[in-house]
Amino acid sequence: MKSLSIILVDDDRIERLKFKKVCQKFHSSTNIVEAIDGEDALEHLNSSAVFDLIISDLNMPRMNGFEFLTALRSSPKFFAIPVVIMSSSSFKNDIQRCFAMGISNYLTKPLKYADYTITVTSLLNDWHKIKIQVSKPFKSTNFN
Amino acid sequence: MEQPNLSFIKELSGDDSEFEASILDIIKIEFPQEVELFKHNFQLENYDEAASNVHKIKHKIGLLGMQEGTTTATEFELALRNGNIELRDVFLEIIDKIDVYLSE
Repeated sequence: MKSLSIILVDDDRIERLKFKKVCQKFHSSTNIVEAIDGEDALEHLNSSAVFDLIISDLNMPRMNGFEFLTALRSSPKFFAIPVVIMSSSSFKNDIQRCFAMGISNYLTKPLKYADYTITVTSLLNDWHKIKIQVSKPFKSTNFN
Repeated sequence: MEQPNLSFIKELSGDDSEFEASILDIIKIEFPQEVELFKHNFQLENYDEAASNVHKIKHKIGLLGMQEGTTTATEFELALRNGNIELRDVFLEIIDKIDVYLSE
């Protein structure tokens, strides 16, 4: 079985370490490429690598999660890659806005270690069930 | 009263003491910088930016096992986005506790 290849987009170094640590423990075959913000992630995506899934934070400098989603969804090359937002923001507006931009799931980072582990492992175990929510690239959507 | 602790980091690290130390090192470096930035933006009444700073600090509060503190930080972040600064003192108390804890 092909191993899962993820691009993990988060400007917080500890959040990236945390995610990788849980993967290492429970899902060691996962290939994770780290990006520090949307711009960095687009550079990785534009390289030759192919990713099965994008996991992204929202609150990031340079290019935040919403801007990154806009760029992805308007790109004929990347619009169909499933995106899961993993953020500590539980604000209803943020969640609704993300779903309107075609994300596949929105996960709020849990506070307790056990819950965090369950969230990450469930996501990785069931990633093949994730549905792509966008059938064609968005045209010229401005979400700002 | 809730105190900073290493329970989350220890659970996350398992037996990997090097990993535990590296997380703590990052917190010790980044936490004071993020707090400084928050205070600066707050003083300038740049509350949107200050809310983004609180968002970052909130991660560290959670990592240091302070669940009530994280909830307060979340409420403060939202309030700041609406220009409401009422939770400032409560938030600063949490920050002070962490400051003391990290300097011990």
